[in-house]
Amino acid sequence: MSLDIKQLSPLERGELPLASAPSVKHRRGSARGRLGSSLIAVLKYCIPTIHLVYVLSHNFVFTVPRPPGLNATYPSVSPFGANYDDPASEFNDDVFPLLPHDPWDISTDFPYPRTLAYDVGEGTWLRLDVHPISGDIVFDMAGDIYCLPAYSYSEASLTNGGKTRAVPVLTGVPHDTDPSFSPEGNRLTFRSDAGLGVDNIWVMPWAASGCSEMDVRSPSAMTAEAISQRVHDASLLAQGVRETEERRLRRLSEEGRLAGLCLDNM
Amino acid sequence: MPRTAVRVTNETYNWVSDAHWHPSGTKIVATKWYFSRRSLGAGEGWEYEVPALHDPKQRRVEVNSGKRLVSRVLPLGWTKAGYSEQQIGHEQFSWLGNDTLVYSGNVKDVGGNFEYSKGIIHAYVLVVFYY
Repeated sequence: MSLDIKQLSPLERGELPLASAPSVKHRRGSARGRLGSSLIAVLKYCIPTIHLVYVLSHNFVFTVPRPPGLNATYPSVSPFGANYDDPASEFNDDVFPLLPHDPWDISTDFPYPRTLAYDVGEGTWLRLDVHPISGDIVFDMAGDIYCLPAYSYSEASLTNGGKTRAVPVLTGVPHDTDPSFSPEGNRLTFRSDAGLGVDNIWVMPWAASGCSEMDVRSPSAMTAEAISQRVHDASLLAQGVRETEERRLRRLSEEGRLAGLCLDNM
Repeated sequence: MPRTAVRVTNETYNWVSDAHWHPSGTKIVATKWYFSRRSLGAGEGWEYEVPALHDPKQRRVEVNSGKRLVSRVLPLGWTKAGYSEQQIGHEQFSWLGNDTLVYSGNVKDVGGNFEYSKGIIHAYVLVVFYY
């Protein structure tokens, strides 16, 4: 069973009324009246919407507003315009934390060996993004970010049933997730708890040639000397030996956070 | 330029997640999660400039920098002094064109507290916000 979305009125389609709607106008009233009226307006419009979302999701038909064309015009009056009384205007954002943090770094101030290793053919709770030009896929698994080249899901590849080994892009102790390409595809944002252990958004350049160039385990990085150096550095961290600047740069490079990689599109 | 991961946000307590690029590629919108008495945060929509990767001077991001685009809504009868206690916010912000955000919000918990075990009524709706 499915619903014909085109035959429904805008409200039934799950669209909220735009700038001329009561919920918008009431934002300009007194604070108390505005709250009461908008609450009623919100409930009035949300209840059918909740129902519709529920119905649609159970019929596997779900619509989101379509991106407007380049020449689309928006209402000139914004509900968050000059008369909008921001509830946060008196919030100084200094409620928590009560004491400043002790400076520490989850990558270095954790004196235990880093021994996690796995080789798997599937995963769960993966978030992915597709490169806007090349079609390469980035995804996260267990706090590391990997890349699958576009040919891994080509028709030929899928027909053969062949498997492609994912290329590690970001590794190490920080929990890196939720990768997202910039519109031009030359940068990648991701969420990471590097540093204090608090999740933040980070950005890194993305090579024009894609996965292979972003590989932190490429043959050039996997020389016998580099591997033994890595094992040695890791054991020093596990013993709690303070990290020198040289070791820090080497670690960031191994994790994919710093490498002598030149991008020609930046 | 070296391949370097650079922070876009510098939060030391209220974490951020779910970054979505603006079509211009100059900024992102993300959900900033505020803790209150409840340890799961209330979401707010925040905009963050993406620092230029080729200019090391621009890479420094001050703690708590960013711009609040979508505030939490105060429950009926609350004053602004209670803002930090509002446990319900918005989340999943993404750009629709250049000047519009689409996001979702919890419209069931209107009293400022998150109620557990709402069962099947635990519904979220999409709200279109013209910015």
